[in-house]
Amino acid sequence: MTERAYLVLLSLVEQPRHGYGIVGAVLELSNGATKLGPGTLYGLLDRMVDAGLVEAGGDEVVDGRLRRYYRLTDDGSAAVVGETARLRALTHRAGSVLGSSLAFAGA
Amino acid sequence: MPTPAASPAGRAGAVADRRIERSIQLWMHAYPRRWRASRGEELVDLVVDLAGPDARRLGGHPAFDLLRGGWATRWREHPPLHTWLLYRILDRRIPVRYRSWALDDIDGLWYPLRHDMSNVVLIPLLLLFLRPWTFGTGGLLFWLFNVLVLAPMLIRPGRRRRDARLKHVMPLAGEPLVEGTLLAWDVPVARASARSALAWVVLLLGFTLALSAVPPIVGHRSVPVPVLLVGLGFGALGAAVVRQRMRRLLGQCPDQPHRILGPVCAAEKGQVLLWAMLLSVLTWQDASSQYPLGFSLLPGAVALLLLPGALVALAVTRGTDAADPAGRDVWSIAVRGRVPAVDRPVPELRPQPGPVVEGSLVQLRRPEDPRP
Repeated sequence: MTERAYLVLLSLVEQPRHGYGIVGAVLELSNGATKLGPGTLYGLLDRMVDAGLVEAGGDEVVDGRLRRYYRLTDDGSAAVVGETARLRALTHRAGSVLGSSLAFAGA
Repeated sequence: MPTPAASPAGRAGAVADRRIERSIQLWMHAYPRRWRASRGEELVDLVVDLAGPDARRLGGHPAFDLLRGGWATRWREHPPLHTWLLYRILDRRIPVRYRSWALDDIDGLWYPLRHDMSNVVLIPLLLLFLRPWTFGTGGLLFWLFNVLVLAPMLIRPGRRRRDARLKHVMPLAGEPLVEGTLLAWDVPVARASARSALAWVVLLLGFTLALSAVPPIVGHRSVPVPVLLVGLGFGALGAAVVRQRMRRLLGQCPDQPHRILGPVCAAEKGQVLLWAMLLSVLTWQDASSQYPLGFSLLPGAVALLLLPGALVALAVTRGTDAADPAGRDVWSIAVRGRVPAVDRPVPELRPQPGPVVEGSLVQLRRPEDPRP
């Protein structure tokens, strides 16, 4: 799973969001580092819908604009939990490696 | 449903500038047609929101992002090479997951040419070997080959598309039936009205006749006057027969409950233009070749025979107070001397309306429908 795909899935954990909401949430989650373009976002959403990770959760018209909401499926929730666990384990191992390395350098 | 996050444009409360929408829609052509139909509005609204309330056109980076996203979508949804070759060259039925792609392909402007891809790919090779710019026999063969390749675009392209949709896109009996599934429904057949169709026929025949006069004038060759007189005589005789048949049979045309009558559509006008271009090429070849074979004279002779009858038919249909018949009716009366038959409805793909009972399956519609 790419970092962008992970961030999109993560943005949908709390609540269903429309495209603009996802872009904003991803920007916030990545601390401003990842700004999704519309083409990139819809490419990711298409692939996630095909993979059964995300599904359309209804339409709404706001200020004359169509808002289509997307929400996580059970598989999507499992995928984001699994990826988070994998990243946590990686961070833990990275911390161990860096810790011993720093300790060696300090000695 | 959660409260949507406010957007810059939404906060301004302004209706999106039509100029940026047009700019976005232009770049969005990178996406497949069906994708634009189902998701286009949503994507436009998102891009407008991201561009901000003061944006009047799409910037370079978002435009490139749309272009990249559109082509990536096309690439992702395109069938693999072997499936594509079987579909394109051997007309093998496309697998289920590529039906949407096939629908876009069939509805595309150049589908009749793409359908005969195996012939079209030969054109560059023939261009090299036959050297059409030399105006010799090789050139003539080249242009004749082009005429044959282009013929599918000229001969009933609508029918080819309809058959292709039924073969490749319609689900097989036994497949799950859900709301929106494209199924074959009997719909009225669309016909061009005689008044509209005959005007275009007269235009094409007149153009053909005028073109056929070019090679003799340019090449300083004479056309035997007796041949012209015989042609004119047969044309006049045909016109008299057409007039007599139309006055006798036009009032006997049956009601057509399964027909929608309209003027000649843009695609049919395009076909007339294409025919005119092909005839022009034949005339050019004939006028400039060292070996004129008279191919431009044959259409001219046909036009000489048919034009008087077409003019009479046009005058009769425009002069009568009766309802406008279809061009096909006039053909049946004028050429075959018969009252036209009642049109039968034609199968066309339409989405299944909802709601559909869960677990429903597509039923076998007619014995000739494809079986699973």
